[in-house]
Amino acid sequence: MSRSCHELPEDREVLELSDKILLMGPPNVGKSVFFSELTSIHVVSSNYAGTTVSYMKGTVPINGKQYNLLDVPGTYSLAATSLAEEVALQFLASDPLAIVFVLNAADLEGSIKLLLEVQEFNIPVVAALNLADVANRKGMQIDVEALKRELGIPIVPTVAVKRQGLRELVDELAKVLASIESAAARQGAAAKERARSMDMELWKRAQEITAKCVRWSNSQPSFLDRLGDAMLKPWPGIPIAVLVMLVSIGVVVGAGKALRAALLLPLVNRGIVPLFEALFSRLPLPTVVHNVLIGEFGIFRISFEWILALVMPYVLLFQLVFSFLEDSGILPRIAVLFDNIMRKLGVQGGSLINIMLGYGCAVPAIIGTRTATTKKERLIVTTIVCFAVPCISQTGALFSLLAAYSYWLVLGVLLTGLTVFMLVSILSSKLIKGTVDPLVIEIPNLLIPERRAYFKKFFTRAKHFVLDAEGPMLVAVVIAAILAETGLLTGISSVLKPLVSGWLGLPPEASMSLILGIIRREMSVAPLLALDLDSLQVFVGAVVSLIYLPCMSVFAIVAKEFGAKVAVAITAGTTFTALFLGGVLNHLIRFVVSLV
Amino acid sequence: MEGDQMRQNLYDAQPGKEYTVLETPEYKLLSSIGLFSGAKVRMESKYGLGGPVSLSLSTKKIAVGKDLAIQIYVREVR
Repeated sequence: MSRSCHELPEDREVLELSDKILLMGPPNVGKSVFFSELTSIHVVSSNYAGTTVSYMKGTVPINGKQYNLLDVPGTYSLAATSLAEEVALQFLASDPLAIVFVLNAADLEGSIKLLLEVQEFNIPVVAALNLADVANRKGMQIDVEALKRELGIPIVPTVAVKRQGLRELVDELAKVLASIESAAARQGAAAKERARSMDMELWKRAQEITAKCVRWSNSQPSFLDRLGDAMLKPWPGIPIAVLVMLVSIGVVVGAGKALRAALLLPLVNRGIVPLFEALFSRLPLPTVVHNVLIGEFGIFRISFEWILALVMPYVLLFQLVFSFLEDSGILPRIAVLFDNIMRKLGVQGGSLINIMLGYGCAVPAIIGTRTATTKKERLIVTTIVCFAVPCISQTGALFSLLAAYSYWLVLGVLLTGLTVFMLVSILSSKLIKGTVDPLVIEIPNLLIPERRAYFKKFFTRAKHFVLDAEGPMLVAVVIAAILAETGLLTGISSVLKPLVSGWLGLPPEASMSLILGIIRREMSVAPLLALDLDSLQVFVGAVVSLIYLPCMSVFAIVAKEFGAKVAVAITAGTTFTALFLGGVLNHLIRFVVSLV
Repeated sequence: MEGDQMRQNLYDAQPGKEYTVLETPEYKLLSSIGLFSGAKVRMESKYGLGGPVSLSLSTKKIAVGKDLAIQIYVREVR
């Protein structure tokens, strides 16, 4: 088997694992739910520390033995048209023991076609027939026995989000594994040559099988089906999509602000910080140490003020809302409705999903571009996300900063951000060589996310945010405390004064924003909250921090996906643009104001 | 001759009508999603300003960008 030319460095270790079972299936069929239900130990490989990969690995105990279960990215085919498909192909070629394949009952034809492709690799397959509830809603009755006969493999009907059928699936898998282990003369990898058929033959065969195994009954389309269809039409789809996005932003920003004002700020200012103040004042500490711990910028003050009260509420609410959008099937509809605008900006509607993901965090957004079919598109989306898409921590911090002055400032920064977004998109699509493929997307059924699976996903993500972001945020806090409380900041500020004060018009202490922004994006905003700024300074500060450096985790992931050169170019580009634009806005607005 | 008259590109197809696909460009993603010559599709919606077309293809719905849709030829099923 020839190795793919785009081999991903981090995959090698996983490819060489023994006792591998692959979890495969088309996108959006609930594979991740299977994964988290089947694996006892939860090892999510997609963390934010730069070891991010596009699959998950866990272990399943079967017949008293531990097997490695790998969640392979969902694809429609194995044609290697995207990086995600190449990853799937690499896994198939890495000599796995067996495959658990998840069939989508609501799109049986498409998933049978992919299954037929997978079966060409001559690896034992056990299939789950998932989403049967959605199929029934559409009036489909699937004859599972006939399907087993046609495909020649064990098939278990499941409703994974409700844990139905999982035990039977594991039992079938155990039987298959037992028969493999007993067949001592297991064929070597060389014997497993792939018998490739044409796509069209596979589709014909899939159609025949589907026709034999599905009975259609007349059913009234449900409310969700009708809503799903309506959301796909320009009218009323576009107004509904705009409304959904506005409500989502409103919930995150509004509830975040309320949570901060009503619960977290009182808790921090009247509970936690006074407690530490009382504690440290009793200890015989040198003044400098005392100040570093609990002074105006002390570690035990700002870590709670910044992380707990400023970042956490917005991050958690964003995850809550975005998980709903992801699970419901709304995002692909938005991608279709706004494909025309994205096309004019040099990309295509499908990229919008990754860009929206970037408003949460840039790291999964950049990894998400692996599903793009061309490198150019991956690069454009990555550039947009690095330049003009603030992550949710930063958005929360910016909103807290700006809303304290005026909602017009919020709007101003928002419009500046959108303008930069469009300019970066148009410019990078002109400058980067290559082509962007047109939109081809499958639109899933609209679903109400199942409560248990939804909250499980939310808690997993929240946990990972705390695990991955807490460290860098604390590092930033400690640096801030040491700089501010030991007098080091005064020295740095006097060096950077021409830039920070002369050019950007900010007080010299704002140099701390530029230093902390290297570590994490929201940390470039947080120090501005403590400074006594006027409206123009707040506006300039917000614009600079919005465009300024991607954080260290983003730098790492860009370097890993595209090489160090691209990461350095993007970093230099964002830094220069942020400082240039900030200064120009500062001088321009001052000039205009002086005329009035 | 009559066949040629009924041949049109997918982008100009009318919403609500059913079509047989006659010809598609060499583009891997189309065949992997199931859109190739011989496939039956129902035109659902068209999006202005250079937007895509959305189609029903067996039990699923798909959308195809304008640049591809103008290269796909179909014939109306009567």
